[in-house]
Amino acid sequence: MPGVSESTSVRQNPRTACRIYDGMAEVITLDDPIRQHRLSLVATRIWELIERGATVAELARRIAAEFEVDEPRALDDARRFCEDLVARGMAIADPDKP
Amino acid sequence: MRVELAGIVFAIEGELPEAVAARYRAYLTDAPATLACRVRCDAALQTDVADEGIYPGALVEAAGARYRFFRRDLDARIDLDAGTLEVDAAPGLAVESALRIAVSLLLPRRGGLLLHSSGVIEGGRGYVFSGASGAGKTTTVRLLEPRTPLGDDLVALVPDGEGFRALATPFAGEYGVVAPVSAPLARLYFIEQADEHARIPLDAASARARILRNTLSYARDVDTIGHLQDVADRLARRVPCARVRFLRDAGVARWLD
Repeated sequence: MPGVSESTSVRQNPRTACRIYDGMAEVITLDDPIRQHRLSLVATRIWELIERGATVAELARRIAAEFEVDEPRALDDARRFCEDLVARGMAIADPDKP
Repeated sequence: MRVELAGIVFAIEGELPEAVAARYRAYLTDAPATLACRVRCDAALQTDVADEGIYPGALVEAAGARYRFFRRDLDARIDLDAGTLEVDAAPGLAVESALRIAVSLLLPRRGGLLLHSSGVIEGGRGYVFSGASGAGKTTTVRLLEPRTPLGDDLVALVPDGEGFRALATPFAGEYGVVAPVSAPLARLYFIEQADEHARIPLDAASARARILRNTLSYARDVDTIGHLQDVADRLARRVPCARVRFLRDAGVARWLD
């Protein structure tokens, strides 16, 4: 699986169902194996931001601004989280834009 | 013939194997049909392997609200929007799987679900005990005799005013088919056999996760899964849910409170 870099665009896999309870998303992946995933507050925000797709760099900027963390750390966290989403079939990574 | 399963009325045309018809006799109804069901027995689908050899081979195909289930003894096509079910099944109980699958797919659209669970009625209130195979569903019903059973394998939970109602279904385990009774759902328990009797209340998130885990679902479309999430959330918020650890004795009745 290709890695996720800061220029990778990530979007929600349309084969997922999601509901938000008390500010936190519960996502179900529909393809085998069907699994439930509960996201934290920050993860839920990223999940919302990738509804129509966003690059990891864009996500990091938004998270840094909204949650008052420094941007390098936000970038590292967002990259790793998006990699995880893709690995779990919750999100799709589009090829890096030049 | 028409049968009412979890509030869904199946108008069944064709040849229903006697083994299945006998199980559904108590569930016959004159109510208007919800689903038009055509059954055809096909000996060519007959198989010489045991159930456990068949089930892993089941193929589920979904295109929007149209589903097809195929395994060695069954070929079922369900159109959830049109309200039709066509079943080609080997003689015997295979056709019941198609009815069970149809109920599991239709209920979430009506605000309900089919839960792997047993249950009893006590004082006009329904108590449901959910668990995976081997958790003790049949055991709890037997320990709670002679209370009216709601079943020992799959109990339907459907909306009822601000709460839910537990409905018996003919989808039975070794306890056998029970009468078509129902009661307002008082409590929903997730059972585990243990060396003590204990009840641990669940918060909404934990209850929701357990409800979804124990729901019979073949859903593969986003809409039905979303409906299921909504039903699980309403259940978790409106019905007291708890883990129950129990000894195999009549002391389990203490949780019918």
